[in-house]
Amino acid sequence: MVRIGLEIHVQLNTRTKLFCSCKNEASKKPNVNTCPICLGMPGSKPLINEEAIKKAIKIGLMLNLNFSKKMFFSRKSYFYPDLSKNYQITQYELPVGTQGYFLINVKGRIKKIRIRRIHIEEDPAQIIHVGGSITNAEYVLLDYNRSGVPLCEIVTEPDFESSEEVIIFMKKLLSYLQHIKVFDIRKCKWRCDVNVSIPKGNRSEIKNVGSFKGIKSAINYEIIRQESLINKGFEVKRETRHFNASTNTTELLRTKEEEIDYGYIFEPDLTSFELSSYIKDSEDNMPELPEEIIKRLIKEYRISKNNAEILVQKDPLFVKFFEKCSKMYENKKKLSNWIVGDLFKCLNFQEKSLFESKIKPNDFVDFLNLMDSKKITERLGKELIKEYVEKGIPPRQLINKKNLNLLSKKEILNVIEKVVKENPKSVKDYQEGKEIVIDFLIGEVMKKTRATADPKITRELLEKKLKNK
Amino acid sequence: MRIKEYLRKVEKGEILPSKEIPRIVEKLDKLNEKYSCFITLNKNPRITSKKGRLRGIPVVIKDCICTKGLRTTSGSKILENYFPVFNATIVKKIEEEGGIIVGKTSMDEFGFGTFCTNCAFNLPKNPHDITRSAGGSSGGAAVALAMSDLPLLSIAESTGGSISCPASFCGVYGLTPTYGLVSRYGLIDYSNSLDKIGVMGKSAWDCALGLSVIAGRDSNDQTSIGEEKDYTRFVNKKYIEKNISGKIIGVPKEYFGKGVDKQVKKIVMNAIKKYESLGVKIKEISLPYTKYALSAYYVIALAESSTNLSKFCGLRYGLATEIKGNADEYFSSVRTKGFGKEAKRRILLGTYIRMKGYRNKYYLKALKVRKLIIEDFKKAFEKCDVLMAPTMPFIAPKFNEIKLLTPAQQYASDILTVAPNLAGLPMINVPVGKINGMPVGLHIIGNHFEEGEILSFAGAIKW
Amino acid sequence: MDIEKVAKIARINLDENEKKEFEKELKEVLKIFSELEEVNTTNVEPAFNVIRIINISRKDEVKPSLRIKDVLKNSKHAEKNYFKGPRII
Repeated sequence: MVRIGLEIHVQLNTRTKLFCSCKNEASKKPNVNTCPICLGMPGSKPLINEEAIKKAIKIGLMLNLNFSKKMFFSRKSYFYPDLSKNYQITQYELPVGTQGYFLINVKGRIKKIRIRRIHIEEDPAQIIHVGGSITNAEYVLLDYNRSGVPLCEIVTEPDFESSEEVIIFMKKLLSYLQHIKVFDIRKCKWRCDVNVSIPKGNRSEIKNVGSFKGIKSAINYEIIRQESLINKGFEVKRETRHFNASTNTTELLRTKEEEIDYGYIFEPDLTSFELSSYIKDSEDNMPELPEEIIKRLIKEYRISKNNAEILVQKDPLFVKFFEKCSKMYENKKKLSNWIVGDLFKCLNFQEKSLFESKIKPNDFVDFLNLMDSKKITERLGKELIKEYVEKGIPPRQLINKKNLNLLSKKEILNVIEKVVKENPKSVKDYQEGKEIVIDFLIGEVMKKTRATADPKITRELLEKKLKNK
Repeated sequence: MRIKEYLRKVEKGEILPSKEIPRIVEKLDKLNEKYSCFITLNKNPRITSKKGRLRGIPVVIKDCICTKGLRTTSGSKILENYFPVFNATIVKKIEEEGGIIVGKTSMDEFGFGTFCTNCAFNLPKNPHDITRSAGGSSGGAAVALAMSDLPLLSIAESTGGSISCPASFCGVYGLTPTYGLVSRYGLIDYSNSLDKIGVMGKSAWDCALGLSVIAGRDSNDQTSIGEEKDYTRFVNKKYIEKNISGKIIGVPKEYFGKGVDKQVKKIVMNAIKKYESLGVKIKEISLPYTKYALSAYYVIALAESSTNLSKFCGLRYGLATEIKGNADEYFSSVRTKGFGKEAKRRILLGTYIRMKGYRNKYYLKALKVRKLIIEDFKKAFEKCDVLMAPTMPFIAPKFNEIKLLTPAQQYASDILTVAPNLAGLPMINVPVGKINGMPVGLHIIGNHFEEGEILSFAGAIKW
Repeated sequence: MDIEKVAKIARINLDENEKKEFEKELKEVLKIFSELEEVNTTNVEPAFNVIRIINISRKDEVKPSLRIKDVLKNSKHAEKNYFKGPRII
């Protein structure tokens, strides 16, 4: 039985860095968001950001954590060009909290993933390897814009049994972190260290995997590698490994004997923290958790559980969007179906987020009204929504531009005349008893009218016409 | 001339700082050739017209405190050409009050030393006898004061006794405030939980004036605490007369043990007895954990300092060598070249006691012993108002005597100052006598935030 | 003490003489430190801070960063506003 554990690092969406007031913002220009503190200049002192503590606590609340009575920062010493002080200020013995859990839904079964601990630490700088990769560069260039960005590290117990479970967990986790407004998928980065072990073997740690695809490949490769070693009678040693995204393999970084001794000490430039006041503040300011939102949507709007779940899990903006539309539109079920169905499909296909598509609630509701009042058919609606997502032009404008209002009976009859004239064989086939041919003829009418003819009316009129001929 | 008189003359217009300061700098330059107490002299200081409490006063600052645009080395080759791009908070405060920074004083590299003999640049000489040590690590700060009559305010720093020791050896007053009272922003760290910026002067009043300017909570240092206030009133004759009678001086018996020179003990004991004439009572007390203070101090100081020195690796500032080889090779080459022997010793020791398998035995243990030592003092202050003892176990040793000492023996010279420094208590060295022309110091130690109390005692008697 | 191992962790190169010298000196110092074992510290809390202050933090408000010329002022190796450094491996 495979055992997998994760150490997840997520950047927090504070305005400033963890220990200084530089902007927590990426920039194309190197070293523009830096100061004596995040550059580690001698004489500088770290100044902890209260918002980072509050956000970490919100994460703890979301993960049902036991908060530490006393929280304290530590120095983790090692030499690396991306560490401005050659030690990282992190938390060791006294983290934010321990012993929490997060529930995931694995093929209909609820599984509890235990959270061992979460803590706060600073991100290092960015390294550019000039003239090659990490293994064969000529020299490096360093940009300290990222140095000091706040990270929350979430460590799970090895409760995962497959890469699928890991990905379900990660997707849900990242979605929830956005819901509680501590993480912004457009600006914040995340990465994982993945620990994998199989029975009779020691565990390997695969460092710095930053995509779902990478997680899947790394875990699957590692399981195979370990199984093959055991089958051949070899030992699976305790190792730290690196995931190579281009070959989809893991490579040895360090053996157990080469493990770094971090020489932890308590950070004497920062005070200790008794978290009760921070916890109260975070509790009071805790946004609705997804589970609560789902329950509320079902109750208040009477939409299906499935639709509610999809709305909540996709992107917090969808819930807002749905609720704004609901204020202007009666049929909540229909609204949720259109959003969860065609709107999602188009957005996914075109790889756009709701935000990028520029679709506004009142225009979307107007679109639904157009269909309800039969100005356009549902079938046409399904066509128009694609263009709507692609170009951001509301359907009403699209219709006016293309003159796509629903046709009157008289107008349909005109088209039917043309179609009947152009397809004498089909007409003959129908009249000789092949009733199914009428669908073909209806289709032709649809083509000519660009689906602005109501199919039901078209069928009635066609049948009449053909019978009378 | 004393600071008080100088300030009066400046206010009256009898002294013009714009003319006087260049003269003073010239004198300091000449004296520096003999006594080597400056690493950098500010030959063209900016003379502002700020009418503050330090108006026109020439100020010298230990070279571990960052002065923007003025070279700051912390006594090390690895920062030989370092020019900070920001000012320490205390430097800002001094300049706001009209003080003029004229020089950066010599020190043991990063504060690592008791005798100011671990200097990468010039080695300061005791003005009372230039074959003897000035005391460390703020040796230059004490020498600059002791070598002339100039109205200097001298800012120094103490981790385990680095203000008290040179003040004692050079015969000047040296005030180490409560940990946290003075902002450490801009202080190049030796040991963050132990470092304190303080003041040296020719009198208790000078120290009180300096402290009044530099003390006070700073948002740039999250371990700083305390109010800004005027400390000179505690040295006022009337105030002292009103408040000192009935107070109790505690004399810890462990501070008068075998390791302390007989003559030093005699002079200091006589000095303490003089307070009885002011209506003060003397009481013998015991601080049972005293003997462990040296180890607890060094373990904590080395653990913290070994991490503080990791940042010096030739990348963002400081000494750099040619970029070749990999990062580990480069870092090692820069650090091996830039650090002196004592710095290397302390980095190795400090790294060792933090390692897995030793961390519990040394580092975590020392933190607990520190707690016990603090409690020792707290108990003593329930019965006493101040404690008094010799500052150093002997007078300033000769340079050739120091050469014969092993590192362990050098560390052991700190026995009288490490405990109050570990506890973060305020203390002041008062020069109370001489042995063969060499100064002997009395140490007055107060409870946390009782700078006023110790200044009153220091100013109560003219020695 | 394995002085070679410690020196490696601390990124300091020692020649053979220095290794011998330091090993001897540091052994003497460590002997003094082992006195600490005599102290009974059961139920004693470690002293992280000397003065009791808790919960000091700052508001999440942006303040100006350093100008790039000050950032690079003291570095000997810079290239196009990046710090230049040795390769990792």
